[in-house]
Amino acid sequence: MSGHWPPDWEDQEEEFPEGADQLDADAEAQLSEVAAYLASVPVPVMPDSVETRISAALAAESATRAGHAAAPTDASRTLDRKKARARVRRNWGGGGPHRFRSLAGGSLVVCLLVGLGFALSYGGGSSSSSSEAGSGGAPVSSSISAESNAGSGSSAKSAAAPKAAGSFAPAGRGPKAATPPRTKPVPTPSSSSASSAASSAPTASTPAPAPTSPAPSAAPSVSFAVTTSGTNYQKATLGSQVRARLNPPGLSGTSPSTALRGCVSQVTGGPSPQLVDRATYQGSPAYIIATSSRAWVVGVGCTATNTELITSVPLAGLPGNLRALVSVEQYRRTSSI
Amino acid sequence: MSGPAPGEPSDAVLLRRHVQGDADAFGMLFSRHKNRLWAVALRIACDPDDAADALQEAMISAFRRADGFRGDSAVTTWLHRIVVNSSLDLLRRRSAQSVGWSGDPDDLPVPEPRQRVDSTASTDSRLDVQAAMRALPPPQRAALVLVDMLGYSVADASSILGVTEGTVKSRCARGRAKLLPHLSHLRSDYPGGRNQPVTDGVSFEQGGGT
Repeated sequence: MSGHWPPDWEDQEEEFPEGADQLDADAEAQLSEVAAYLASVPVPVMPDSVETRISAALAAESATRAGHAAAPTDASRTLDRKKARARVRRNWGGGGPHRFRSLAGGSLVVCLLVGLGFALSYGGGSSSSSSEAGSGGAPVSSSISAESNAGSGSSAKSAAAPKAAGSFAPAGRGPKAATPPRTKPVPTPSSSSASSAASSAPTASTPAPAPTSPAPSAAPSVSFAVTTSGTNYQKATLGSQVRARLNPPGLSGTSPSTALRGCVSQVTGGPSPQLVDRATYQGSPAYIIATSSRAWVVGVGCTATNTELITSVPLAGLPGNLRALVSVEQYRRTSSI
Repeated sequence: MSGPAPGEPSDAVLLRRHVQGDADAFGMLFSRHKNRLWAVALRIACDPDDAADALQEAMISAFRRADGFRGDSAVTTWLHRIVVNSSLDLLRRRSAQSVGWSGDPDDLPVPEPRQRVDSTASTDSRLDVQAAMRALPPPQRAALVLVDMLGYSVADASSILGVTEGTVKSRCARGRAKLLPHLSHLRSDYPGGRNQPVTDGVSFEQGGGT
């Protein structure tokens, strides 16, 4: 603590003076008396005003810390989602599903998608979904969302109960996270707002409605072969890498397992894929699934009930703005609307 | 103003709880030691307003840096160190401000009312002590406050001040010698009692400053 004082604070000799132990008895006694006197001075009591002021400052500091503490909590939840790959997509857009859910514009997005040929983005998509779109109810199919598919497993029981959906919910969400499978039609703007659609969603205590679109995993009818290209797909070039394998068509492959068949059916929402490639993504083993319009990357443990969805990119030559809308729509489907 | 009462958590436990997110723990810690910390700040700063500023700054600093407390010393020692440093920093800033006068009379700081050393005021010996302490360089003042006025051992004062024990002894000796002329008129009032340092489950060596 010494060495950085203003000059007038410094003593010439900081260490104990050499002659200190040679003080005469009287001088030493006098200094001892000074010490004794100082020791007798009572400890002052902190004035209330000062205590109040400092307590208020500490309370403000505590409140600030509490505010900051929320951020790491959110961050940890994000990390948890990264661990559960299927949850990654929940973070699209940077906001929480609740925030998104409150956007009335969500319905407008659905409307636009319907008007601009939503089916185009899912070339060869489910005919039942298209018919629903035509009847004014934009389908929220389970083609992409791992979460939404969780409740519509291979059994009728899982299709009616949203228990598996809850397993994808971020910690702390409670029963509300146990949303039904997103096979529920989303009302168009003309019929109700997005918020009313959200509020009309069944709660965990309400049995989920039966899927209006075909439950792909219930009867996986997709036909495809699994290639093993060994390609190391990369995030930045995923689309072009997949397109390269689609045109010309990929390698002849092996017959998929039942679990993989269910997985692919869930991921694509019904249409048969043009590519299912056992490869690596960012160096990690993964399946690359692609239709003509979209590619998905899922974990090698992908099943109908847990697709382990890692990422998804559009492949069709959609205009950028429409592609963005599709992404938004996909987000809406992956969030619990 | 003492260590924890029976059944109450120790200072170390409170600090750990604070680090773990307990919103009340640090307030309890402050409340437990507030008077002693106030005494340190007040004796070193020699001004209630400056002491309040320094103490507030110190407490906020301690609040934020609690996770850096390694437990090498008692919590009270750590808190006192922060208060001492904050008080000395404040005095240092004041000193720099006075040195850095631009020459413009309008820039001169408003003089603060100071109590002079006046033997006629011996009826209030505390005022004499306070005034006498102003005459000391702040480092000496801090050493005397800790060792003589608050009863910390030289070793603990050395830890708080971040200097060697020899330096603490030197500062105390010089400080007492400087105070002697100012307090000689009070010699008949010298009592024999000493203030007792607070403890945090750690025994403090008494005296040592002589």
